[in-house]
Amino acid sequence: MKIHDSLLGLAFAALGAAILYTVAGYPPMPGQNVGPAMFPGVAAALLVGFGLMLAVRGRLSGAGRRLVEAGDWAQSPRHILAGLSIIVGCAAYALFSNALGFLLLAPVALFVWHLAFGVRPAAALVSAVLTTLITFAVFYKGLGVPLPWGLLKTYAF
Amino acid sequence: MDALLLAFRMVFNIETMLIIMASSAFGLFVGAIPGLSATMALALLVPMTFFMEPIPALAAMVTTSAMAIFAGDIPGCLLRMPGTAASAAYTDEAYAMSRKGHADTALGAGLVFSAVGGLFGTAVLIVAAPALAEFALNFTSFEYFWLILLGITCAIVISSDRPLKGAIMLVLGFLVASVGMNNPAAFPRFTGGSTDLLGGIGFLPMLIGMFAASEVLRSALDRSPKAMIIDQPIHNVFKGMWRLTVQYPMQILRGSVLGTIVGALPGAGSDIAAWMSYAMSKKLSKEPEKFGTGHVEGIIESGAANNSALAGAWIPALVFGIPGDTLTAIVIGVLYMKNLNPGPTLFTTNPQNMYAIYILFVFANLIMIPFGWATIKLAKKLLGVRREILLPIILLACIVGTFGMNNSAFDIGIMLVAGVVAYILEENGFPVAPAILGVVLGPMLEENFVKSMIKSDGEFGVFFARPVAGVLGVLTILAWSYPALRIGWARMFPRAARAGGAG
Repeated sequence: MKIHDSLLGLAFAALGAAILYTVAGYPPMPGQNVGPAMFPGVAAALLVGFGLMLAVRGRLSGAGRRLVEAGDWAQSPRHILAGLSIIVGCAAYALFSNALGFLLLAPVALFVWHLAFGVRPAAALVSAVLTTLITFAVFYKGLGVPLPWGLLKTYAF
Repeated sequence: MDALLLAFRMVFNIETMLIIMASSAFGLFVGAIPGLSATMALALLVPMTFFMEPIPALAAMVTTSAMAIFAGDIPGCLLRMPGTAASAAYTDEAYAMSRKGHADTALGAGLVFSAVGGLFGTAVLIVAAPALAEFALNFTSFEYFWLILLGITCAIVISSDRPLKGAIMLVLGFLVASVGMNNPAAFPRFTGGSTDLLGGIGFLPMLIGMFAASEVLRSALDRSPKAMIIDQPIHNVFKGMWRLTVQYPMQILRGSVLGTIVGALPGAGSDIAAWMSYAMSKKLSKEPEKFGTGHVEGIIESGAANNSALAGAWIPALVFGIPGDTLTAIVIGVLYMKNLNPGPTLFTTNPQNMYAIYILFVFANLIMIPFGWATIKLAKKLLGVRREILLPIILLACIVGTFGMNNSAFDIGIMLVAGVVAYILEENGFPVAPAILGVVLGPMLEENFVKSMIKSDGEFGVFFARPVAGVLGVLTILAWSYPALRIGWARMFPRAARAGGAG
């Protein structure tokens, strides 16, 4: 996704301004002349400056280009689906993994991702199940990385 | 001497050896697959090192990065697609050699001179780091403040081709690092009342998002057609290597020296080292006209450079806690996690840890030869691995690793947001490395500034009062004026600037 420099520059400048506004209300450190507002304040001021510079430079050099251009994936429904499946899958794992558990959620997520990336269903199923089991063995059993059990808590081993 | 013996024992035991073998295979695999970078390999490794002892954890990081940087040469040579950014400088050259039927020489030169460069960089690390550490023992917050500022200035102004966008990323990194209560006043900043954000935005979830999840996203959205492997038998890759060593000794030395220096500069890593030394090789070569047509000279020089840069980058990382490249930025995160806080005292309190790191570097570069040879033999199978099967597996590893470190679903959210933002910004020409530099160095910069201000009673002149601090301060200010000087120079002497190919 290509976003015009002038648009990005303005967005950064606006972000910097918003941060400056926020830190203006921070209390000083008692007895000191530098407080918690100083560092983010300087950074935000720089962001405003650099953002405006980028906007001006983008305006001067890239006039005529469209403000936002999607990449060529936007013409392919399969690629859009693949991108969406990544975002939705991660979000779903963050939201539901504690309730459902790794062993239930991971194979479903993997299966969907495989399909979205263009793997045939049979191969996707095999890979999803195998990957789940191997990840479980390597991370949980081998390295001791905690994985949520969720619904299967009573069967935890 | 006891410390050295202890260090050997820390490295040469079954657990560490097994981890070294496994991470070699992992690094070679990730490095050899185009689209999966060395940084991604390290980012994916972080959650696993979380549960390891310090030395095995560092062993995994050192071996994985060394192997991945070499393995990046393989697809460059056979597919014309660099496996990691560090191989991009000479991918066309290596591919041209393959088309002429010299794939074995190109791969062999990549392997052998990677190891030589890596060993050279390690030698410099072993000599320079303790000496610098001794010097740095007397540093106060004033020196650190200027040193950090000089480091980030170098990273943005001198070693980046897009200083403005790099500067924006650096500042964004500072702002991200400001979130939470980890500041001298312990005041909760930008938390919006969320308790999850009080401790700040997790560095490791962010890393995994920026370097692994974003690459999965990029690969998933990539519509470029699959590259065809050059079908050509690969014979003995070591044949003729001794002859090349005798023929091009200066090139090997130059590449190694330049690589180590560029690696040690904050923010510039293996990829920039390779580009610079390829350009230098061409400029100083007796036969510059052969470059680009399948000539091995540039591969030797820049192949040595990108691996020596790896070790070089550890010098400022270990001595000052200032990462020399993105890989060491990750390593610094791991060092803190393992209570091996970087700094000069690291060399005095537990010298066996330092010796162990040196031994690991030497060992990793030595076993690179047989492991790399085996990878080259397996290259065609490796390059045939289907991306659409691999990507979901990597994504799951990102999620599981992120979750596992703190048992926190919130961290997965951070990873996702960091991944999407990094993808969009990189698509628009924003380099990611300065952002990670900003996140690592932001809190250090603030802390040292506030400490110095308190010591000096708000008097800024005191920042220049100590001799070393004064010199560093002046150097920093000179580096800031570099872009202005360059523009001024170009205005005054337009022809000279154009002939120099400034860009």
